[in-house]
Amino acid sequence: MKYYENYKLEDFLLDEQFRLWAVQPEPASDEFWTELGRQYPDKKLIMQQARELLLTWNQARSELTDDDLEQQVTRILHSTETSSKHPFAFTFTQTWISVAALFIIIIGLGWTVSRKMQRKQPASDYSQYVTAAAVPMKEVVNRSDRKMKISLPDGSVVSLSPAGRISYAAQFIRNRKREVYLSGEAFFDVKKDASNPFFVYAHGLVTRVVGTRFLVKTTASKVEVLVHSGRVSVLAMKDMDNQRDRNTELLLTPNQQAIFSTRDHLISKSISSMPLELIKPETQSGFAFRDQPIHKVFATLQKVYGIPIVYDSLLMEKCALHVELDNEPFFTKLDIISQTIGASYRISDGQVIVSSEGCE
Amino acid sequence: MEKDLLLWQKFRNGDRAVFELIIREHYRTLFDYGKKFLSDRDALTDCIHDLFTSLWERHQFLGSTDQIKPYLLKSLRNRIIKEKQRSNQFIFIDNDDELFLNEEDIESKIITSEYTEEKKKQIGYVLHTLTPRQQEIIYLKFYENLTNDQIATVLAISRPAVANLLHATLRLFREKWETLLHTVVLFIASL
Repeated sequence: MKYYENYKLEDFLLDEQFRLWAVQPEPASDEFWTELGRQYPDKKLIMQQARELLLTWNQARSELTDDDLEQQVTRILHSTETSSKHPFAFTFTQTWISVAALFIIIIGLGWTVSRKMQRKQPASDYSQYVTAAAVPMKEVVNRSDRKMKISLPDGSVVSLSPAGRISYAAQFIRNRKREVYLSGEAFFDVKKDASNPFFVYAHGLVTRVVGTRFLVKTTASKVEVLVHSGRVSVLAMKDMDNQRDRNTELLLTPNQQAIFSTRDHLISKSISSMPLELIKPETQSGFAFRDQPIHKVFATLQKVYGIPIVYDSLLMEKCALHVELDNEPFFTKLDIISQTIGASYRISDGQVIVSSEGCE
Repeated sequence: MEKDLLLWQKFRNGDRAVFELIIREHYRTLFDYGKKFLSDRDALTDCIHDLFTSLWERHQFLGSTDQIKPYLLKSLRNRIIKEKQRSNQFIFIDNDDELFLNEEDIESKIITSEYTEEKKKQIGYVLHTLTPRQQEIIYLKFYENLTNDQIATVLAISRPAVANLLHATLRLFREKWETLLHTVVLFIASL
C-alpha cells in the first residue's frame, strides 16, 4: 500500500501508474485516481498540477519538420552507401510515413535478397562468370606467343601472358569498383584511384588494390599473387559476402606472395622466389658489410626488399658480419649470411625466420 | 526489449533496411535532445550524421544491445561533449524552444497569454532556473519517457543515482514553482 497522503508533486510525477493515467487515461485507472482525489481532497490540486505538467512535457513538439527529417535521413543513407544506389527519393508527408516504412522494409528486403543472389553468381570459374555478367563485357584473349599489353579505360595497364584472357565491363568503373576477371597469367600496373578500388577475380580468389603493380597467375589448381609495389589484399571469393568473417583476408606487401588453392580455398602467404630490390641501400657501402652487427645487416635487407626478418636480437646480439655482398639475389644473400654466422632460416607466413644458437 | 535486440542484430549484419528504420525511428529524438546542448542546427545535424555513418562503418564490430534509444542518446551526448570541449563550453541550453523563456519577459507574458500557454511558460521558466544536469534528467524522464535504467545508461551513472537525482530535482522544481505561483498571485492581487 502506498502512502498517498504524504505524496508531494514530485512523488506523483515519479509514480509510474500516475504517469500512465495522466498521459493515457483508461476507465479503470480513471476510477482509481478520481477515488483517490475524493479520499484526499487536499491532494486534488497537486494531482491536477502534476497531470498538467506531465501532459505539457509529453506533448512537446519537435521543431524538426518532416521535410528536414527526410533530408537528413537521405543524407545519411547517401553517405553510407557503398555499392548500390537507393532507387527512391523520400518526399512523404507524416501521414505517409507508416506506409512508407512498410514499403521500405519490403523494398529493402527485396534489395538485400537480390543483392545476395547477384553476389552468388560471380562463381569461381572464369567462363561461368563472364557468361553470367549482367552488363556488356569486353574480352581480350592473347592468342599470340608473346606478352600482350592492354590499356584499361582507367589508365591501368595489363600485360597479359600467352593464352591468358581477361574480361571487364565496357563501362569500366561501376558501383565505385574497377573489376577485371582473369584466366591465365597477367601483370597489372594499376593506376592509383583510392575512391574506386581495383578488383581482380581469378579462380575463386579476389585481389583488391588501390594502385599498385602485381602479378596474378592462375592454373587449374592454384592462383598466385605476387606484389611488386604497393599494398594488395587477397580474399577467397566465397568469403566476400560475409564481411564479419574476414579473417581469411590477407594483406600483402611488396615481394610477398599469396598462393590460393582452388581445391580447399585456402590462402597461404609466402615470399617471391626472386625478390626485387624495392629501394637502394641507404649507406654508400651498400651490401658490403664490414664488421657490422647482425641487426644492422638484417635491417638493411628488410628495408631494401621489404620482407620482414624475424630473429632473436638478444640471442644474436654478439653476431657480427664481415662479408661483401653485391647484387646476388635475395635468397643467395640470405644463404651467405646465415652460413657465415652459423644460423639457419625458413620462410613462414611471408616472413623470414632466422634461428641461431648465438655467437661468441 | 526483444524488438530492439532483433533489430540491432539485423543492423549488425549489415541490413540496410533496418539501418534506415533505426534512423527514422530515432532521428527526431536525437535532434530534439541534441538541441538542448547544441543550438547550432547545422553543427547538430552534422553530429547526428556522423554518429550514424560511423555506426554503419563499424556495424560488424558493434556489440549487441536491446536498448537502441538510450544507446543512441548516449553516443550523441558523448559526441557533442567532445565537440564542445574544443570551445570549452558545455551548457544544457535551449535558445528558441518556446518552453524555455528569458527571465525578463516572464511576468508580462504570464498575464497576457491565454491559460495553457501561460502554464507552459511558467513551467519553462522554472525549468530554466534549474542546473543543466537537472534540466537534462527531467527532459530524459518526461519528454523522452526513458526508464531510470535507460537514463542511467545515457548519463553513465548508477540507477539509484538516477532515482536520487530525479527526486531531488523534482522537489526543487516544485518549490520553485510554488514560489513563482505565489509571486504571480501576489502580483495580480496588487494590480
